[in-house]
Amino acid sequence: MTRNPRLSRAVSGAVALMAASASHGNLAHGENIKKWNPPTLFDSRDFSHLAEVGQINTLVFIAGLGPQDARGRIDKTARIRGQTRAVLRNLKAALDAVGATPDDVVRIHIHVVGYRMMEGMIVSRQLRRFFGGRMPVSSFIPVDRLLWDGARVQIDAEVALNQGPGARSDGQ
Amino acid sequence: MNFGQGLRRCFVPSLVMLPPLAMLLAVGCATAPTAPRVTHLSPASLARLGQGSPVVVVRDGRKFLHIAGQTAINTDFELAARDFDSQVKIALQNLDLALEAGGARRRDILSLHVYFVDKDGAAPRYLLAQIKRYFKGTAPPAITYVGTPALVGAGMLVEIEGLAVVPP
Repeated sequence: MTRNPRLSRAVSGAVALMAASASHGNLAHGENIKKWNPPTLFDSRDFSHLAEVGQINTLVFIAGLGPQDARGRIDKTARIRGQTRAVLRNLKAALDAVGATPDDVVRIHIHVVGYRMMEGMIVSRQLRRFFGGRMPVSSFIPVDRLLWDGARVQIDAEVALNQGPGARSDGQ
Repeated sequence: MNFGQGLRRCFVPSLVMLPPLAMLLAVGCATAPTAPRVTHLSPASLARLGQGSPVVVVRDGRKFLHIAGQTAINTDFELAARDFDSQVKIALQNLDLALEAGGARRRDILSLHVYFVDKDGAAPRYLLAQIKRYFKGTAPPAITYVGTPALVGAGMLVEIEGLAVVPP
């Protein structure tokens, strides 16, 4: 499917538009990826119920990323908002390394330590901004602890995309 | 994944070649496009996080193996050890058995989710030491560690779930 990426993008865009008119919710697509909420399930702004992955040749697995800065430090005073922001910075760096964008992310898990009820909204607001409202499939899981002391948020991700034959995936 | 694309790429040119060359091409292409390429990345902008590669890329994977959370439960359906360190060891042995049954090797693992119960704050240290040993000599997969208050069975302290790409 790498022969004419521009054409295939246009085609998948057209298909996505047609599908959008037939369902509600935040339908989104990367190349050959469709994410949507079917009318038979509640319409969430915070995630997509479904992600359909079509003709792609590359899958990327991103390990659970914590709120560390590049030197491995965690701002332990940072509340959930600051830690989520730091995690998303790291997710962006991981996506950049493989030439992927947030639209290419099909699934995430969000793990939160010491979860209090209203914090989901704080995390969701930042996720919506990160994904431009075109949300991946996700699960939000309160957990007991993460690997790193002081870390309260972790996000892992699965990404699907097409890389051309000459693509380097070492971020250089 | 792209079934058929590899075949088209290989067989179309082979039709216009001399027969012996065509045979070579066909044989060469029969395996080359189906071999998955796995790349492990550690972007400089990310801190080294525990044991595992932050980013794992698989290109042209055709067959994938999902492995259920492996624990220290043996074939008699008994928890084979009580202490954390032993349970991790047995869970990793069971992961090996699962890989073997599915035709994959340690180096074919793309991602792991490790769920652990930390009773005394020492679990991460034991866990990381064993994971490091397990992947010695091979690039580790993308690993996500999750501390949980309990696992499904009484006394269970670790569960390791995985996804691997099966080599042709």
